[in-house]
Amino acid sequence: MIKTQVLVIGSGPGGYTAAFRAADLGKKVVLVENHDNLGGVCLNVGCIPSKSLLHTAQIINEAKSANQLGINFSNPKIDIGGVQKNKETTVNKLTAGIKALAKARKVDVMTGYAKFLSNSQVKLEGTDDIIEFEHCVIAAGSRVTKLPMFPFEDERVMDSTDALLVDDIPKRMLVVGGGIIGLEMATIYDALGSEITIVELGEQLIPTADNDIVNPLFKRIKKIYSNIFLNTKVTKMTAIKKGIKVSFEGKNAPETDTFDKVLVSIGRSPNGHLLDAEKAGIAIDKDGFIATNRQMKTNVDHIFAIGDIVGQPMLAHKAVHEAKVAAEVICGQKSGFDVLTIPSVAYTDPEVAWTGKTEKELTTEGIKFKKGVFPWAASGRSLSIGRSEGITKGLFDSESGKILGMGICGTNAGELISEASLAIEMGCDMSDIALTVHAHPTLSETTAFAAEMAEGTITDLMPQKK
Amino acid sequence: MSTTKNVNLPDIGDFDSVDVIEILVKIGDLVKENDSIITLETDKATMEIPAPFSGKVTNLAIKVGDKVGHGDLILTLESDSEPTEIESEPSVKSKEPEPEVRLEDSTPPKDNPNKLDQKKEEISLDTEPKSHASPSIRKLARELGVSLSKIRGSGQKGRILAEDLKSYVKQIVTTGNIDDEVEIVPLSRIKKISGKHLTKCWTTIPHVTQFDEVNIEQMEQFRQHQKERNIKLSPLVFIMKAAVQVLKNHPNFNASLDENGENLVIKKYFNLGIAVDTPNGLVVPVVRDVGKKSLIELAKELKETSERAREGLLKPEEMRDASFTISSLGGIGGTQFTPIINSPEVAILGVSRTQIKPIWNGESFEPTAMLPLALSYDHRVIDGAEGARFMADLNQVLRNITEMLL
Repeated sequence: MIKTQVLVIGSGPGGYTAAFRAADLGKKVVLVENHDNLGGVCLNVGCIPSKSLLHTAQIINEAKSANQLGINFSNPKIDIGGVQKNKETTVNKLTAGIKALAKARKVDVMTGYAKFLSNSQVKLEGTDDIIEFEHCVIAAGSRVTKLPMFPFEDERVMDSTDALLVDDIPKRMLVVGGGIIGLEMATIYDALGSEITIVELGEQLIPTADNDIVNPLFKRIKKIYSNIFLNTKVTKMTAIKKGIKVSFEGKNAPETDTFDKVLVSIGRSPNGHLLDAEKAGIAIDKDGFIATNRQMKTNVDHIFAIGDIVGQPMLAHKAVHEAKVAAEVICGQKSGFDVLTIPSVAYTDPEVAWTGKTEKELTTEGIKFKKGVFPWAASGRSLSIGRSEGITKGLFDSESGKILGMGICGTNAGELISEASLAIEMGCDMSDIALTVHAHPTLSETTAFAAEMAEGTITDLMPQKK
Repeated sequence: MSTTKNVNLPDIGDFDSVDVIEILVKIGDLVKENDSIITLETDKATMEIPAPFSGKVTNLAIKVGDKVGHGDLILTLESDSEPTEIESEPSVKSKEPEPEVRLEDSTPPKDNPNKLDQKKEEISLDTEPKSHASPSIRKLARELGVSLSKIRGSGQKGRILAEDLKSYVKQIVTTGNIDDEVEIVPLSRIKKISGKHLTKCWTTIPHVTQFDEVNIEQMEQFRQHQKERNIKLSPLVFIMKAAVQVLKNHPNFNASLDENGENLVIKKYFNLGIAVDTPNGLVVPVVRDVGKKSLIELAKELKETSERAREGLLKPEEMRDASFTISSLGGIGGTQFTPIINSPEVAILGVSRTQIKPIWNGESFEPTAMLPLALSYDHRVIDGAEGARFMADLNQVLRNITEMLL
């Protein structure tokens, strides 16, 4: 029997952050991870490998479009082994880094699948190890949602983890689900040479974002990809010799089509039901989410939960902040999760990023707002990099002018969105943003221009009509 | 079929430009005849303008802040149309699909579908979006256990600063509690307008207030007699009548100073402003030609005017052209008060509550009804001796009401 003050289950960004923070505050910590590598989905089969591959895709695409600049590269030869290796190097560097940090903090890392025995003990499945804890942080994350209608037993039907392996480059690939993950994978496989078809049930891609900030992406990939079927349902999927035969139900989609590979990216499900957490008396809802208060406490006073397993949005950066709160509360600090915004980013080409409220949310909530939209076609920096399709949209309280949300579509949108997140947390008004001198020419200027559009002080364009 | 008719501003007295302070209808509204459609404000009063007929508002020609005059177009009403109560919203701004749920709160928020009851948190987690505070200040508030909604920020645009938190906590520590709960209630329109006027009167006129008490035994007996005959006369009408009689002998009091402060404008008419307490604040209707009216006439007019004042129905012209003002708080209480002169007038009489006092009649103390009076006058116009004389004369007339016959 191992005794510890703090047990953290799961070593993703949330888990390792909680472990490290608790250790830094003087606790004896055990960190349990099911997989060999630390880092969870994000580092191993999520954010990091996908970004490595997206960078590869970007290089291919930029080389391809270099002919517009008067530079002609011959068609690239893709060495799949090399692509995989580069990705693995990046992942390994990061996971090794986490391991080193754990060691430096004297966090005890154990490998195994933790299941609760009671509200003070877990057992690592398949071993005799029992860990007794004073406090526990559940950071066990989520997994790809797998509906039984998809024949995952055939290796040509992939989830995002499979797709990140990049075993081969299919000629014709179908992506089921036009959300962030599906679109990022489509970006990668398109660059590598696959013909992409996307099928989405909703009326737009990335249904949680405002349509206008997704639209530049939609317009671009509509031209590049074979097909994008919106408002379309996959009704049947069967593995045949020739490929994966898929039946559609939608206005513009064919009845059936056959693809060499299919990526199913229809969402992620929390792992709440996979921990025997009920033995600890922890309340779990039917979907598998564990409820917490804003100090990340579950209904059991000394057991905390953070990250994907406590609710949407399932994002690493949310988990990290929740992790610090949990660790600090365990260590007697008066911490709480009271952020005003959690930004979302799709690392597509162009990128889509938004923070704060969307227009859809403001309308639903009945909040009156003023909108400032700046099209990148009027940005010198955007034009000079040959990508003018982007937009920056600011949403401001119609009375006070306070920033409520921002949405950006364009190159580096994911980097640009942080300014708006800071503005929201600091309670900036549109004039605070407009009056801040932004370097010229930059893409970040478009944030100030969007505020100027809303204010009516824009000079780089005609002010929008009131 | 429907017809469209313009609604123009009716005659509201001789004002050519009056501020529109409120528009009570919007395009698409169905209004009934006599429903108020706009509120106008002069420097003396506010008035609501009623719709002359029923109909649907199809056009608004004015907006808040405009100045309007007699005959100006206010709005257009479509009348005689069959009332289509369930009209669709007049302006749908975009073609984008409207979310099915608009203001009804039937869909639970998507994220954090199952947060625990937040009461379980033992710390203050105040994310009230109206509290303008950065993340580090919110953290400090949590650590200090302070709810940000209780703190008024001293930073720009009300931003809560670390100093605000600290001084708030210091206040709790040093005084043991924090009794700073306040409620902010906007002043009524009447108070906002009269406030400016009163400030000007108080700060520009050198006030002197002369006090006196009047033996009103005779008046009280007379009033008692009339009461038995079912004629109700308040002391105020006697005071009004007596005031006019005295004003006639002291014309400087029935006057105003011209704008340069060089000439006295002596008025040959005797219009008395009577301060009236209304639910929205003080108003001063004017009773004209008091000298020519009998006590009974005055009593009747006063009753009617006060009632209309309380209902907010006075017209601006009913509050103009006073030559002298009386403010009576006798019905409420108090021994004395110092009234503020209602510029451009030069004097005002304040009346407090009658008290029975022991008065020496030369042989013994006699219980006597004594009426307290306070005369504020503009010292630029009236000397102290004149003020005292005016008061003595007024006392004389009120003490011997038969002198009013003179």
